Amino acid sequence: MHSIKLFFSLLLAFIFSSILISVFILFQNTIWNIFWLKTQGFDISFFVLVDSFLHDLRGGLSPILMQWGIPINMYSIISIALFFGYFLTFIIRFIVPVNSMFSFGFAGLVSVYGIIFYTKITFDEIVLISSVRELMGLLIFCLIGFIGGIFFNQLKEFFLKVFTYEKNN
Amino acid sequence: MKKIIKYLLISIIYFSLSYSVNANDKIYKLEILYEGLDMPWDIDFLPNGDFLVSELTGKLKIYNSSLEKFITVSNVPSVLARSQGGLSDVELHPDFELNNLIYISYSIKTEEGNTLRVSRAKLHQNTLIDVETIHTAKAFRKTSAHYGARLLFLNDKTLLISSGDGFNHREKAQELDNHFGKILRINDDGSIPSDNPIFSEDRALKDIFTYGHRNQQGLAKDINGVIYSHEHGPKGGDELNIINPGLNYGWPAITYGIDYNGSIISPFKKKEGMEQPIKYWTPSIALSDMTFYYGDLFPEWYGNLFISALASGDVRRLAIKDNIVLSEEIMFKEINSRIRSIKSSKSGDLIILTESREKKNSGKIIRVSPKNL
Repeated sequence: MHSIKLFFSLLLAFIFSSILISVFILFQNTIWNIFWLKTQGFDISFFVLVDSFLHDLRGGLSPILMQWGIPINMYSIISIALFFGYFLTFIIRFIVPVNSMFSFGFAGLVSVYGIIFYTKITFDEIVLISSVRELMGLLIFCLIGFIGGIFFNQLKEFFLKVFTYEKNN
Repeated sequence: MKKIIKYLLISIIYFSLSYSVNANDKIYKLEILYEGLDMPWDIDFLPNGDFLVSELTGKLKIYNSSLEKFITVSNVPSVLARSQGGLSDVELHPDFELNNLIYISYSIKTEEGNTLRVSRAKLHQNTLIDVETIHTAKAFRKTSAHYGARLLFLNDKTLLISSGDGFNHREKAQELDNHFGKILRINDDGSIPSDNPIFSEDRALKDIFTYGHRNQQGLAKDINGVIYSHEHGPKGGDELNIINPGLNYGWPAITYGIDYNGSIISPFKKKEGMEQPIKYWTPSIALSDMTFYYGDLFPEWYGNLFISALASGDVRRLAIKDNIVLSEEIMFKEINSRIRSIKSSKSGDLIILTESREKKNSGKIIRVSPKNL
């Protein structure tokens, strides 16, 4: 029974943290592009910012053609990277009992950095997420991954408690 | 009822006939002159009718028309043949018959990063001699993408060079202290012409002709000397521009395309002080080269602009008048391959280069000539 509760806790935590990280990554990308346009003398209204962000959220669903000719969208790329990161951490934590919050935070960081690393080797140093082309952008990007990982850990604990509470009542 | 059947039959016969007329309506024939090139990039014509063909992998070859075989030119500078980089354009000097000079563009690896270089040399008995670097772009990058690399001699014998934005450096196309996303103009010896545009920015490089470009792989001039350039858009937004000195063509501040990850690059498509394309393509067709046709063999095509495309694997024939594209016809779709280059030969044929990224040594030279010739 505990295994089932754990599975659903992990699943829900994974879904929510993937959504959170994806939204933040796309928001960072929007802000980055819009900020640069502002420096170029463009009049950026709140409406333009919101409209651009909504466009980017929709755009995240559009397929990117990877090297094997397989189309995959940004949300899937982020989710796959996070899945591997969290799964590996989960396994490692069975062997080495490291701090849960820190280890999943680190997993989130490494996972999102892995996306950049992977696209760079796939597309010959080309970076598909424009906001990470500069160091500051890359640091914020990794921070999003780290916070997303911590969020995953907290959610996991939260859902476990919720399921346990339901059972006890 | 009989009347309806009669009209139906007449209509069927009429449409069948008109279809068969259209199917055989082509005024041209396609002829494969050679197959087996390794990522051919550009072609230029020697005065004796032979072709010079550059291969991205670093080889420059001469196609002997009478022997129907290639000879590899020796002493070609070594290139960084990686991804989109390698030996790119080959251009004869307007006075080639007097000085035997050819110009080549290619990517190189330096300590500062990869960049675009232009060299000139004399072509002497299938060997390059007196090889001289006349330009190295201040556009150093880690990537091997978006070099631009197209060359075009203007009527005043100055040379235009397209220098791409290096992909990861797109914002620098709006800055004038570098060669990312620029069209440059130099003299045939590499010096800077005294009548190049003057920009108000102190740090502006003197060889910049226009700026705000992405990856411009097509440069051509019409019979009146009007300069045209086309450039790859990101996801959508391939552009055809008329090039005038000193102007800003907007990339990446204004664009009709979006980023590869689906996000916007800019929500703006127009801005005062930034030029508009005379035509753009969304979705992208991946424009690769272009040529104006002024030959005698196809009078119907006289003055038309032919643009080759990689992604769509066809050629676009544009009729342009007073800076307006009047019509666009998709042609040579039957080639069914990525079309890397198109040039109009002195004899009036069109010569097409195809490439394949999957199959090595499968690039072709295809001649387009009148069907009844």
